[in-house]
Amino acid sequence: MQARRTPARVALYMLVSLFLAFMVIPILAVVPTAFSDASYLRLPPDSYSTRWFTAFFEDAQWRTSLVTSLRIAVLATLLSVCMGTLAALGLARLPPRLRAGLKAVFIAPMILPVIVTGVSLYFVALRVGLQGTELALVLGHSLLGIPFVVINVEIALRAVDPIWRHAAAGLGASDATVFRTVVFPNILPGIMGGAVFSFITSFDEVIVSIFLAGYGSKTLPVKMWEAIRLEFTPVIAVGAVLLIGLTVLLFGLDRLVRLRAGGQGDG
Amino acid sequence: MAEPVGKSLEFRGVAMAFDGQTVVQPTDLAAAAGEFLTLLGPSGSGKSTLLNIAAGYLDPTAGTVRIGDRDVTTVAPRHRNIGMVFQNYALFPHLNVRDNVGYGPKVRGVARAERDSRIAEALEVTQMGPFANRPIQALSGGQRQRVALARAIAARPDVILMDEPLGALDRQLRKQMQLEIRRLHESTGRTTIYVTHDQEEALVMSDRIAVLQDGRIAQIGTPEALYNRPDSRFISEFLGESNVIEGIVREVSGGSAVLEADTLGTRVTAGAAEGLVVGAPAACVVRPEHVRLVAGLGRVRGRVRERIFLGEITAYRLVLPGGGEFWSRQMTPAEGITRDSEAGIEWAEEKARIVPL
Repeated sequence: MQARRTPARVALYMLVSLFLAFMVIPILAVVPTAFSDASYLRLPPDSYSTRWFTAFFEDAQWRTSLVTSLRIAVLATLLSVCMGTLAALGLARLPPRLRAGLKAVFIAPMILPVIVTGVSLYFVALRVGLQGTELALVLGHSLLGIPFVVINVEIALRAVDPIWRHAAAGLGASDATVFRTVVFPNILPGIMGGAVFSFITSFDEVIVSIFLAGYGSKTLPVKMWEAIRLEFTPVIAVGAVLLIGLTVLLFGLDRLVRLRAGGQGDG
Repeated sequence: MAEPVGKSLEFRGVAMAFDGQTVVQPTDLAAAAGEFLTLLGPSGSGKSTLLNIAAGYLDPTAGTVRIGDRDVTTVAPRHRNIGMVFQNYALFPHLNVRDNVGYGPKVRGVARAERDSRIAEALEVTQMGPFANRPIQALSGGQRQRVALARAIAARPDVILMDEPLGALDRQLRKQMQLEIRRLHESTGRTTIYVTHDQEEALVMSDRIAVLQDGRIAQIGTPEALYNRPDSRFISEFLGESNVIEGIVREVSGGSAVLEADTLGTRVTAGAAEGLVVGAPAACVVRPEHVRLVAGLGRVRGRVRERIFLGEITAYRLVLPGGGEFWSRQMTPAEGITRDSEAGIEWAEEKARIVPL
């Protein structure tokens, strides 16, 4: 049925449009800047080119920072997915009170101001001699990613009917087989979701990274942070566009996976 | 009927308590190899608990469970070789029909070719062959339950356990599935333990029915025996409907008894159940279909308050002078008996039964 176009409905549409514009436009404003022809940051640019993209990829430092970011994000994601999934599985087996208490511990990195985490990690990293290493960044970022994995997997686990385990066990499956063939496939979308959040958290993380990064482990956001103080050229906007692009791509992939799983999951 | 390929299942002194609360009294119960045994009872009677003990999902507080000649009391569910069918189907949502049905053989390491033939066979007998590649979500409730049955059968279990499998289906489909499950049982010959609270299901499908009440077996026997010779008022009212005339036992001899019924102002003689004591209260139970309405005096006269046409039968509700109620069901409507007319109530002695309260 076609909705009637009443004044109230028109007003509602306008309000929603304004709200969406408020959410998205400030972020997307950086995109035209990246395609500027000038050597200074101006919005909107006077003329357009892709020269700053060329500059970005021709500069070894920018290139390295992008590769470093990707490498750290992949490793940190792997770590937080493993630990977060195990944590969520363990939490689900605890009595409610203990579960709530322990969950708070696993969620803490998401709740605490990141600057606090950053400072704490900085001192700890100095003490154990990891400050300035890529390993420190991987560990620090995985800490930030774990809450996302825990939350996503916990929600996915709630949809796993305990009776499926009974059914599988009755048909001859061992505990390990029940997990591999019944539990895991059904929480996979949750794990994927947690992985995406965790990857993006690491990929665009700047605060903890500034505290932990050394010369050899400069991530893209850290490089951008430095460049905005020293160079102030549209090449920074290129970095931003790459960040936005990868984020959108990953969320899109996640949606796709969930839609396909969702088509099977409900009912 | 196929040769039984299933094994016997036996409870010996099995009892269960949760937090000190007894839900199953010490119970002895055995299903023979190939038998269809129904555990029938209201909710809280312990029937599902017994089934879950048989499956190994619950450990009994006391007693042993045997499948065939093996004591499985402490054996994990996956080593019991059972096939469980649940009320909410418990199908795996991420697998299609074929992979659900093949799950048992697959985790037991059955070779591909053998697995495929078992799947095909199970889908065939449940008439789900054309749906092999469908996702579970694309199936109706009845189809899902058929897949659940096929999955249990494909595992080639020694015993099939069913926990109210038709509970979530509508009435029409339930009746159809009752006959189908019975046919399936007859063609596979596998021992089946069936849990339900629906007396019609129990009557239609079972070789024997064990009626449970408050965690113990109230009576066990063939559907005919339970229906025609109930041992207690509870059974007579739980299986089918009964007119219940309360009174005092005056005489017990040679399988029959005499009851003095105040509400009728007369004595009735009928077959006696076990456990009657002279001088103690008891009840005479008469099925409505055995109650005839006659023009004469009958055993007692009543006034017809309702005449309900139900298609193949007509039901009458009568009120007795003493205040009690009486139901009669007739295939052919009694001549000249209408609402508010008086009629004599009559039944054959051998159709009534006197049972302890």
